[in-house]
Amino acid sequence: MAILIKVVMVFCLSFFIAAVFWYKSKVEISEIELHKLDTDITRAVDNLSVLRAEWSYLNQPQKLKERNQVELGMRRKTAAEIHPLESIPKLFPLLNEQAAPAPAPAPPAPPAPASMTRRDTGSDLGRQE
Amino acid sequence: MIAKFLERHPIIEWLWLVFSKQRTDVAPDQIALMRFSLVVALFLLGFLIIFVRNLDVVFFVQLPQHVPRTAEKYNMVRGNIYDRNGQLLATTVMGHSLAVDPKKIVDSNETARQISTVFPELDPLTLSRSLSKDRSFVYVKRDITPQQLAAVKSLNLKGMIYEPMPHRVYPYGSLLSHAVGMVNIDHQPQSGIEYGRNRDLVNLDNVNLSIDVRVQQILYGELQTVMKRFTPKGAGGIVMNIRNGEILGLVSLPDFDPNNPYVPDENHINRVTSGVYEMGSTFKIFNTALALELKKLRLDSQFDVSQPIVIGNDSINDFEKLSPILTVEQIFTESSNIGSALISDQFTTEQQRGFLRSLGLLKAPSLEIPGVGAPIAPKNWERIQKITVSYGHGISVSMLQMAKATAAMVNGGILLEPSLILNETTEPVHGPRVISADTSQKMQNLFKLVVQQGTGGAARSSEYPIGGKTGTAQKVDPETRRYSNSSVNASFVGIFPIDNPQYLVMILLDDPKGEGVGRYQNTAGKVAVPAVSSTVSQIGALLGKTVGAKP
Repeated sequence: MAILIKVVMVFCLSFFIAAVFWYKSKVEISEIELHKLDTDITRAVDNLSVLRAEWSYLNQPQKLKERNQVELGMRRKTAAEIHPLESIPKLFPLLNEQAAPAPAPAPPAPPAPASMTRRDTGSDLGRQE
Repeated sequence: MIAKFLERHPIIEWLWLVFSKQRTDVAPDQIALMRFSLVVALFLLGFLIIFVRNLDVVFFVQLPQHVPRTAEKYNMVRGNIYDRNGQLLATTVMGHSLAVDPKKIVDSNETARQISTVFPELDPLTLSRSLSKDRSFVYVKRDITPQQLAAVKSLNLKGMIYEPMPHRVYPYGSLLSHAVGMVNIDHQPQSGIEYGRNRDLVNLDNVNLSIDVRVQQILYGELQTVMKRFTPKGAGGIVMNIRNGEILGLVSLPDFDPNNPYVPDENHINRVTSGVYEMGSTFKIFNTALALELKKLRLDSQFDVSQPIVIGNDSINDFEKLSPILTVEQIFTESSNIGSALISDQFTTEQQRGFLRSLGLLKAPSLEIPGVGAPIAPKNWERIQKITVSYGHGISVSMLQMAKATAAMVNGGILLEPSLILNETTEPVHGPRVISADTSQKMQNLFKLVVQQGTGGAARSSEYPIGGKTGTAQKVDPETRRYSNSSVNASFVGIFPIDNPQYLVMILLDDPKGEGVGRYQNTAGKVAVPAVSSTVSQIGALLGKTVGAKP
């Protein structure tokens, strides 16, 4: 009986020692992985900031204007070519009547001027002139 | 007593039973079993403690505050600056510095020669000398570009040290030099928002400016055009929302590229905020508004302006001979100095001074950037000063002050603080009332007439309805210390749309040279008004203004 107890105790002890070492090495491997991930993230963050700066650089209104003029033959819109949104129903009175018979629908609210709304951070070609 | 208690305590008794070797009344097997269960119980207790602690850590313990923030871990050193639409104006990227360990270099001459092929500006001889120093770290060049880094790496030299180093980048270059400002190589702020909002930026907070890069670019382009055409010493321009004080564009020329700022100091002067100028006739705005506000006269009150006003040895004249009898309206639109002097006789010097003070024209205004200039006001304020101030001489203010005060004249009479920071709320901005809404309405009409009938006629070509006031101030000749006949400051402060004023566009040219022959070729009407008019034509649609559908 005493021998059996000793064997069981030795077995338990060695099991626990093995488990401790196993966990230790597991933590070490995790730390190496973590370090690798950190390095990757640092590199990605660095690259991202460079890309953002470059994107901003390439989006300079002056550059876009020049390219638009030279490569696409675009020109600046004059004030007479820009209409408020309310003027659209007036241009298509028939369509308007069919879509909504009397009473005449209220004109859609004018869009908030581009300059008055703050867009989310990030770039978007569409808003360039 | 304690000993007695311990002796009789069952646990003590039990332990004594387990560990004692003298007891013979209990079988050894039983003792072994008891010892084993004791060990198991202790193990279980230990595991229970670890288990509970684990649960505690996972579910209940909050991480301590001093854990490094992600930003520190990933080399972030400074927040970004964005424009109102989220365009990136200033950011930090990871750059590198090139250093060497001279102890690892065998042939310093050859190494120096090879390095100087990548950096032609470095002298191989000096470099070779520093490469043979008895040290283990010598900077070759700080802040090198990625291309240079790749080129040096491809040389496969020994002893090179590539030290990572944050590098501040301004993608728009000189476009926003005076508004955004710059930091030096050690990331110490030098000017602009970089300086004014340094505390936010070092805390890694981003800053959103009220500036719109598109508006800024248009204003910049117009000012570059006038710089070429009229070759002034400098030019400044500002676009401001008069409903909330937001500055949408701020340009001062000549300027500098914050990525490479080694230019004459003069280029670092912000002509909009720190330069103060005698504004000339634009000051008639305040002269007229005060007289109207005090109800001393009406728009059709008449004055005889045929005779120059003589005070002591000086006489006050008009640029051009005007008709002898002018109404207040005509004095404003034709910009008569004599008429303005006569209007100023309607109020006292104290009233004039108090009014200008209430408009913030007698002290430096507040803005989020450093180097905001203080005005130069007369020390003694007598009748002669009152008269010269009435048409904008003898008092020097900055364009920023001028824009702020003029905005209050046409926005319904409320003085608002100009700001370079985006106003993210849609709530109306409040400020002190400086004139009544009625006087403000009259001023709007006067501004409109200046363009329709007066000195601002060149703005009639704008695609959007503009009102405004011209100002051509003679400059003091530094040699004779008298007002020069040829050298002027020409400015135009324009408001659009004038029927429902929302934006102010002001341009000032310091000493423009007129085109063509004859006098008055360098007046505001010839040099500043067309620039404002063209700016408004281009920014109108961007700011959401339409002139209405044409049938």
